[in-house]
Amino acid sequence: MGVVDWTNLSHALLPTAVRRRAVEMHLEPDRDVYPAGDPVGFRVVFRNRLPVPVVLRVESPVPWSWSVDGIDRGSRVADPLPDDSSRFEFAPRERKAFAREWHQRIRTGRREWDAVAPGDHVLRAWVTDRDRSLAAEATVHVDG
Amino acid sequence: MALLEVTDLDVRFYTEEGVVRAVDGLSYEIERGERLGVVGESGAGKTVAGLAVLGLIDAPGRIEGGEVRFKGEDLLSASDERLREVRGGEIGMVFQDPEEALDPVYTVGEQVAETIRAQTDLAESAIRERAVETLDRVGVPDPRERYGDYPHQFSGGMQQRVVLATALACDPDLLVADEPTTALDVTIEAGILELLDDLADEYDLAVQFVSHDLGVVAETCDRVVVMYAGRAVERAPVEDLYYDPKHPYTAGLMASVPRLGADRDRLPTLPGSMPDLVDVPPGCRFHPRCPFAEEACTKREPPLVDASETAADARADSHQAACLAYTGDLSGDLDFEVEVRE
Ligand SMILES: Nc1ncnc2c1ncn2[C@@H]1O[C@H](COP(=O)(O)OP(=O)(O)OP(=O)(O)O)[C@@H](O)[C@H]1O
Ligand SMILES: [Mg+2]
Repeated sequence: MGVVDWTNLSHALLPTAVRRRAVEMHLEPDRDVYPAGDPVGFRVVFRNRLPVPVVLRVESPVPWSWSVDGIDRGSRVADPLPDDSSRFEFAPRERKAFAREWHQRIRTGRREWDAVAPGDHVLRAWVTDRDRSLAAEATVHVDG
Repeated sequence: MALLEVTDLDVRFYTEEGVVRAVDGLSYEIERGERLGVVGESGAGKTVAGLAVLGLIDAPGRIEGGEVRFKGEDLLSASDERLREVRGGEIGMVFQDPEEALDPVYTVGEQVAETIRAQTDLAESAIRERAVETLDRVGVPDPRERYGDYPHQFSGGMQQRVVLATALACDPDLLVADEPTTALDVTIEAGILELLDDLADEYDLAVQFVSHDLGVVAETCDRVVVMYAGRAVERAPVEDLYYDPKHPYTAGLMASVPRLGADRDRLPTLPGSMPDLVDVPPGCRFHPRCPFAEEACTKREPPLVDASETAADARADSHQAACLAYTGDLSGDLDFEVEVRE
């Protein structure tokens, strides 16, 4: 994962391994199995485990993004995020949760979407820092 | 060439929640002297669209695409200096809260004078005279005496008249009025709307009138754009929209306009709420709330197309709607009806 800034503590005081694990991340679907066509609601949850503020430097003006089956935000239409850097800030022990709905559709054109096939689908979310290694996944099942 | 031409406007806000697609492919135009109403529920993008025209989108927002042409000039690539010149000069603006628009430490006369000073080379005495005249025109009584009063000495309705004076002092061609009466009492509101009407006629002023109230728009505007989740879903002359709405969303909105006396059995009020603009549904973004939605609506986004029934209706100011019912992609019919009781 990317650089972690400590606003209250000196870097030198904490081993790198601890800094790397400062923020934990989960992707939580609201169910495991969905009838075909039902919106898949999920939450992306971040938590600062530490009793000190943590800032993650990211490479985009939005600090996290998501994909389904490796398809960025469920769309095959290229729509890259601007690559300005920004900061993802956490207060001591702060928890942040963001909700999304995926409608079991993949965007295939400016005005077109396809339904996905029944079966397993992998939702993934990640922090938009350089190496994107702070990430979380969950698999949902769409009934046939 | 229309006075204002907005084409495929795309405005996004980059936030922790995600990319807020506040205005997404919005197109409309306003002719000289025309009053265009922009309606839609809270969060539809009405204010953001107006701010984009005025060059007032700030971080974390960005205009990511489209064109804004005013008298043919491309405002999106205009310099900050040019935009300042346009605002308060050729384009005036009035927002919901007059208290926010006025500076409490300057007299109202001085605030009107300041916009004139910024735009003209008139002598001080002429500036003052014009400020007094403008205050008079917007119905501030005893403008010469009240020139030296401060905003807090005015009622909310009078404050909004002063804001109108600052907007109109330099004879703009276009006024962007964003819910100018929402914060006011109904009786005060009626007075301001009447004033706007008179001024628009007198000055041959075009108005982009933003409101969530279809009733107010009906009284004030010539044409209407209905916005849903950042897009235009219907555009029509105001009577056509009222007597014959083409988009199910518009029909639903009309059901909540009591003065139309819509038949509630046939026209259910809108269930649910507008989607979060970080997470817009696929296909027609209205489909989760639409009583007529079919499978196709979840897979295809309807373009804004002519929805007039007869070729004779399909004029330049045609009635357009973004619904698959008008592209032949819907198997059922839109069987809503609006009953207007005069
Ligand atoms: N500064 C901002 N930062 C992030 N999001 C914003 C910002 N300004 C507006 N938005 C978002 O843009 C979308 C459109 O907002 P807008 O204010 O244009 O709606 P509106 O139609 O004027 O609503 P209302 O009737 O409540 O005034 C909303 O989702 C809003 O949350
Ligand atoms: Mg608004």
